[in-house]
Amino acid sequence: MIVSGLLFTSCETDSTDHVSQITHYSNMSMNGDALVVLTQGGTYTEIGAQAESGGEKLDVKIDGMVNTSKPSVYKIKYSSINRDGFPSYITRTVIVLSEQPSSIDLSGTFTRSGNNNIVTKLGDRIYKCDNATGYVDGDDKITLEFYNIDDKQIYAPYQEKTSKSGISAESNNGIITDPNHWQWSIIASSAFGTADRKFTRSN
Amino acid sequence: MKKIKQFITGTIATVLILSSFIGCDEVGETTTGGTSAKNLAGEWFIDASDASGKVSEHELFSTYNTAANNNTLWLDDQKSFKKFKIKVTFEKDGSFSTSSASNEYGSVTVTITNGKVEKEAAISQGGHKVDKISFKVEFSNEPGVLYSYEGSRRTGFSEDE
Repeated sequence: MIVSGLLFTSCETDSTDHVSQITHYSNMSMNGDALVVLTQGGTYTEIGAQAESGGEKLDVKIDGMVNTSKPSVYKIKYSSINRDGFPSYITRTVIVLSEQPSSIDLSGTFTRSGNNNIVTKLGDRIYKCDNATGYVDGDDKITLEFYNIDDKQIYAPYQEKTSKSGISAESNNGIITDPNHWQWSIIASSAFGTADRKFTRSN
Repeated sequence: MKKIKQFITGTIATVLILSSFIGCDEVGETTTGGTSAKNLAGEWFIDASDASGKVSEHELFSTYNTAANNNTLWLDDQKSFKKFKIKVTFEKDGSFSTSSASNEYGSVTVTITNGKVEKEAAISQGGHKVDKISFKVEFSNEPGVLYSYEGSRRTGFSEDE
């Protein structure tokens, strides 16, 4: 009898019988803009974010802080966890620009590997370049707006579909060496790796 | 009659006991190892030059282990320039060579000298630091002519293609 009973003890399988269930991931939305640009000494007001899962409001945890006396780039992370334990998060970028008038004008034409990257000034510390990776002419040429934070650091916030071919890109490690040289690496959604891209002024 | 009954019961019991020892099918070892040639294997973009200068530029080239999975490696130029696919012998330090190796793509035999793969010693077309491959080639139909092959590991980024 015992032996016969053992035969009916089945092996464990990966069947999901009766254990499948739906989990509602947290939907998060930010109060205000995902990019905030301040001038040194300004005030950053935390207006938070919202999270819900299956119609139920979730608590949002806020990590990160902004020191408006120090020019830099700050990230505020808003996270929430749904009732089944699955996390979600969104990030706000806060750029604090130096209060000094910039001593370096980066507008002009720069080159990398023989390819031009034309930088246009949009404001005292705001620029736009038309070939952020210094690549050959074509649909993958990335246009990127960037900030001269303190005449030493450059930051280009995440920009969606910023090439004709639809590449999204960001750069978080730009350095101004002198008025004629600057460099960064680009985090791009396709086509480009994270090589150091050094630009030299040609006019 | 009683004995037959006992015998049958005994037999059934034995079969049942034995069958209960048949275990469930467990999945065996799931971690896979690499091939013996994994450090040298891959795809490359190669320039070839002779005494006069560059004769071939940015051609896709492959290196991969042989079926024997020992200290031999296939060098395959994907029929791009001189059309050769040959077996070379490699050492632990990443160097490789062969003498008058038969060619899968033709009758010309191939000699390889000074072959090596160096970690992050090359810059790709797009500016990335990648592994470098280099070797000298002599073909049996051009005795005395030494071609120098040099290339960088393929990254897959389209700016490097």
